[in-house]
Amino acid sequence: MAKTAFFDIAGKDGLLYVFDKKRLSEKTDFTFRDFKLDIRNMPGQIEEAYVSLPLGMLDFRVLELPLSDLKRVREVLPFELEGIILEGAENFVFDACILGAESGKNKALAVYIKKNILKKVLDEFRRFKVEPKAVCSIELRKILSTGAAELIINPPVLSGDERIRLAEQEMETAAVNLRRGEFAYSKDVERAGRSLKTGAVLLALILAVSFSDAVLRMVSMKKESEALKKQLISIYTESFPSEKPGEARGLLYKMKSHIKELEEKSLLYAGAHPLRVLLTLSRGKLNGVAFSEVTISGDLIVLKGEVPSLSDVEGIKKILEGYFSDVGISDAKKSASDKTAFTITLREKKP
Amino acid sequence: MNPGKRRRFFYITVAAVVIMVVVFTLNSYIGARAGLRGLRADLDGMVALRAELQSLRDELVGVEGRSTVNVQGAVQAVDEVFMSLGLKKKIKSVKPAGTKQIKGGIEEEAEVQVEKATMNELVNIFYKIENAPAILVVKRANIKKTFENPELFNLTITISLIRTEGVGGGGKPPPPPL
Repeated sequence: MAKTAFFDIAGKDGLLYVFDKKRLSEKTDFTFRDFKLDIRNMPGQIEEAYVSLPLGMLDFRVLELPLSDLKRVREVLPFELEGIILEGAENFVFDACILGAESGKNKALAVYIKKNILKKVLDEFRRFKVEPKAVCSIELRKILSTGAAELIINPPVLSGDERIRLAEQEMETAAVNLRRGEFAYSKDVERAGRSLKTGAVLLALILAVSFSDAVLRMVSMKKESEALKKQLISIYTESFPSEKPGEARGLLYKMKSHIKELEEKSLLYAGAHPLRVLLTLSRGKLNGVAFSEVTISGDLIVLKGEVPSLSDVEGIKKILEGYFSDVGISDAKKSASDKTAFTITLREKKP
Repeated sequence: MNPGKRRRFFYITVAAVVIMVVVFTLNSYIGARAGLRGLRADLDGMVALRAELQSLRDELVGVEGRSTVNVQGAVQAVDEVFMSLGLKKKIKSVKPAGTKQIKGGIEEEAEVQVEKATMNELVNIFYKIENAPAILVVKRANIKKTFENPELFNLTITISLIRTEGVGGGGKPPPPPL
């Protein structure tokens, strides 16, 4: 289970509070002499770490500024303290907190530490693979909570429980955090960056695989297209040997156009086929049927004749339906010779 | 340009190139697939039409190649058919039924009445018409049993002589008979 570690440095000694789901689960003492951390058992699986420095390691200045926005105050701090800090503001890391307003002006407490000292502190913790999320001060938090900044000179002594309570508050929101500028905590950003990089690599792999798949499919489609074009040209050339086929895509249209021409020609020669009709009628084996008249006009045929009875007319119709289409009895009546005279209309089936 | 800006510019350029390649590939893929679908549809269409084409050609094979160069008109064409069969005496009448311009040619109709022909003679007449050197088309045929002899038939046929442009005969109708 991932834990939160709070290193409370109080002078040369300190206490490590380990919080598991925001509950204190472990307390371990350590020493921090000459920026060397000495701890018996460093807990594993630390997800977040905080370091609290004693007041003695920090420097302070109370400033009167016309600004109340903390962000703006932080921006102007190096310039405000330039003339005050002997070693040059560029060698320090600054943070601030607003103390309040007095006579129309805002008071801010500037907190600063030498860069090389902060670096030593951070490097030491990194040796234990601990990357503090914030470098704060629980003693300063106590003083700020009283509202009496002058207590910095003579700070109150804090009990163990109070220190733990202040540590919990600092973890929520640090009163001051000296991990700024070049020392800003970037693990979250780095983690996000790594995730983004991993995501980008995976996306690139997926794109590469998809791209390869698309390319392979396109190659296969191209081959199939070429084969189809050859087939189209072959069919067309077979059907119209005297003609140059041209582009494969237009051949179907050309073929349709030729068929249309042939259909128009065919219409010219459309007519009746009496021989064919007589031959088909003869195949019907219409025994006992005496046709008296056959009229053929185009594909329409009218048969007139006589049969012994009405049911025979139905019989003829059934037989004719096997050879012709649209067979219909248009007339059936008793004839003078006591037989049934019929008129049947039908059409030739298309060959 | 500072390193941060340069890196950002590099990433933007890479992203733009990747997007362009993806868009181009997708476009080409979609185009190739649409083209292939079109070709498959064309091939299916052509295979289906091939049968229709053959059927039309079979229908026309007996007709094209015939010529009306040596025929003056429909009446003369009918005359020649019956003469070749020796059935001229069976013709009751041959009446010209008009000439009309049709798409691709001229159609000249004639109505022929034949009396007391046997079934065999009828079959020969129809066969001769279908296989005449000129393009003769039977428009209408009426076959009726004779009253006196059920073995004999009266035939009334309307025949068209077709003169097409380009298929022998030229486009000019023949001069009317004197």
